[in-house]
Formats: sequence, structure tokens, C-alpha cells
Amino acid sequence: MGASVQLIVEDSLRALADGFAFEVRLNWYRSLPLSSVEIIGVQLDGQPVPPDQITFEINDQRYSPAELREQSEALWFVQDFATLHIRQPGTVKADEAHTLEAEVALRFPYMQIGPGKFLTNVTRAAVTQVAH
Amino acid sequence: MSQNGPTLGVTLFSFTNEWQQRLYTLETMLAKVAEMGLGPGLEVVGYQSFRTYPDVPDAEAERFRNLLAKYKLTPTCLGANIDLGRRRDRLMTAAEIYDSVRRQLISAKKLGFPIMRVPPAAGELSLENLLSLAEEYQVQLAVELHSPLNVHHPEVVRLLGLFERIKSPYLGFIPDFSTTMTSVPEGHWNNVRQAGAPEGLIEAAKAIWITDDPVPAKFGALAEACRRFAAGPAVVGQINLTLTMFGHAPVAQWLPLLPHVRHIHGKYYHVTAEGVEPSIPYAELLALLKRTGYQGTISAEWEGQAFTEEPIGFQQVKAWRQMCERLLEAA
Repeated sequence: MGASVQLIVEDSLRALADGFAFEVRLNWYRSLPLSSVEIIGVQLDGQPVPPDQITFEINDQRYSPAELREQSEALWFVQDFATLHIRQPGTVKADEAHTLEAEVALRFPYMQIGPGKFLTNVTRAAVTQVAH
Repeated sequence: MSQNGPTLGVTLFSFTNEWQQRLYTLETMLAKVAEMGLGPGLEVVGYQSFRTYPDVPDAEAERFRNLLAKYKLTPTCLGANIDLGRRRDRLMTAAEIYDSVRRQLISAKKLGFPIMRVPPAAGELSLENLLSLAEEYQVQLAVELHSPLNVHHPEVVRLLGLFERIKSPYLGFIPDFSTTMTSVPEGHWNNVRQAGAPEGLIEAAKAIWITDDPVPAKFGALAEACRRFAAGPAVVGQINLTLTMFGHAPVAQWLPLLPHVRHIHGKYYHVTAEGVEPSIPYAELLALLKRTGYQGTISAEWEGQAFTEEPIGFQQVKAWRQMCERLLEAA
């Protein structure tokens, strides 16, 4: 729950036909509605990934970052890992090492701190992983 | 419940690190609580422990009740949440809040919890609007008094007046020891530092925390300090926790609340090898509870996972337990 939770799951980078994928943890003690999750950014080897190339997979469903904002009923269960899929064919191949960076904001929908304003935590992580 | 003092127990929230790291299932976690003698009181946060929450299927509820019976644990309190801001475009409506509370009360009832923790304000709905639901399901609604709330907060003053007026067995308080802290744990400042805050901003936040100003004024002062130091969103998010997590009220302010206390959150961050929690005046708090004859439950609520992802929850709850037993004996 603290800043110390490792956002990017160890050894989770996979090379895919249409790009690559890696897993992230929910950095909070309780499950949250998907509408609370904001993908601020992803970088591969220092290059920002355009938001329209990112999808977020949880509960066997995939969402664009914009679609996540609309999902106020579906939950990200605290013990589950979500997968970030990046549609960038050819950028990551198996056995290659790459640097991944991700930044995710969580807006706690039960902790209102002002009119229409909710406590929000931002978690960032940068790791180097060898793709499977 | 024992008639010679508080009954001790634990909330599974204390094992958040273990849970997130998938080191335990609900069953193995309950078994470990029993094996280490951390019960009999057992509390859970609904949105942490149950995948289908706010609903819990009948079969799963039955399995949970059977596990509690098997391990001789007593259900104390279900931690509910009202996700007022679950939609980005608007707050929950009154009807949605009512429905959320109703579903969580049904789950509390099914799981065997006599008390459900609720926040002090549920958007457009006040506690009076929810009392008939609590009576219907025979589960007490208890308002958590967590930092930054204290007895001077207008909402707490209003609730105290309400409780004294209607004297319902279905309404009460759950004070959290985080309201009466004597210092901010050093682990928090390390987090703020890691988020990128300059030392000057940390010093400013410490100076704001230690004052006796009203909490809204403290939030204003902190926002101003963040602007002065051009803090980014990561720093602002982290440093705002200074005022939401750690309260600075005197222990004596608990006195007028005690007749309405249904359960207590024994919040703490670290019990040292010497058996001391450096940020929370446990000796004073437990002496007060013993002197006033409190017969309710207290859950160990270790929140050190805010500062470390080490799975040390069980060790820390054991240490808390030994500290509390020693202090209650001595009080």
C-alpha cells in the first residue's frame, strides 16, 4: 500500500506478435473500481508509448485508458495482477532486455477531500526485464 | 465477551502485505491468526477480503462462518466503504448510497458480523436515513473516527448529539487510535522524500502537523506550502496523507465518546523490540479504557504496510498483542 509496493511485476515482460505486455500490481489495500485507475504513462527504453497503443487487461477484459474511466462497477481485486498490452509490433523480442517505465494514478473513491475531489496516489516504477 | 476489560483481536487489514503477495488464502490466514493466538476478535475489510464484494455468495459466507467456528474466532466488525466517487462524472446519488449500504449490511449479516464500520458522512444520506436498514438486518452501524476527525469536528459533534438523543443500540462509534498520535512515523517522511519532496517542504509539513489548528486550515496551509515548493502530483498525493492518516488530538477527548463506542481500531505503525509504539500513546489510551470499564473489542490494525512491503504483519500483531496485554495488566 505504501510507496514501496513494486508496481511492475517481476519477470512479467512478454514479447507478443503485435507488441509486448507486462503486469502491474494494485498499489492499495483494497480492491478499487476500474474507474479509479488512470494510466498516466508507459515508456519503453525511454520512449513514451502513445496512449492509443495501450490497453489494460483485468478480469479477462481489455480496456483502453479512456474506457477504464467509464467502468465504475467492475473491480480490480487486490490480489490480482493487471496486464498492460502495448501494440507496437517488433519493438520487443524474446530474450531481449528492455527498460520499462509505468506511472499509474489511483483515485480513492471513498476518500473525498474537497467538492468532487478525491485523494489520489501516483505510483511510478522503472525496471529492466528480459522478455519471454 | 470477557467482563473484565476489552477483548483483543485483529483485523486482516494488518496482513495486507501478506495478502497482496498472495502468501495466504483466507483460510490459511485465519488458521495462522488462530495458531498465533491473535484472536478471538476477527475483523475484515469487505473490499479487501472478498472478490465479489459488496455481495458475498451464500456458499462463500457459509464457508467463512465455518472457518471462524473451526478456528474459534469471533466476528467483530465488517469494514464497509461507500465509493461516493466511483463515477468520474458525478457523485453517488442518495438511492445509490442506500443500495450500497444495504448490500453491505446483507453481507455483514450473512458473514456473522454484528457491527459494520461506516464513514461519518455518506454523501447526501445521513446516518438517520440508514438506521432502519441497520434495524432490519440487525447489524450495528458504527461510524469510524479516523484521523483527521476529532471530537471538535462538526460532523462528530452532530453525531454525538444524535446518539445521545435517540440512544439506538444500532448506532455508535469506532474510534481509531490514529486520531490521537503524538508524532508522525518516520516511515511516512521517508515515503514523502522518495516521492521527490525537498527537505524544506517536509519541515513545513511537520510544522503544520504539530499545530492545534483545525484540519481544514491545515490542509490549506499544506496546499500553500506545496505551491511554494512547486511540488508535483506525486509529492502532493503523498504529502496529503500526512493529514489524512495521522491525527494529533489529546487522549482525553475520547471521554465523551466512550458511552457510544461499539468497537475500537487499535491502529499502530511499529511496535519496537522493547514493546513500544513510538507514535501512539498506548499506555495512556489503554489505561483510559480500563479505568472507564470498556468491555468491547479492540482490533490490532497494523498500518506499517504504508512504509514497507515486508510481510511482517503477523510478527507485528504478535508484538502489539504482547504490548497491550502488558499495558492492560499494569494499568
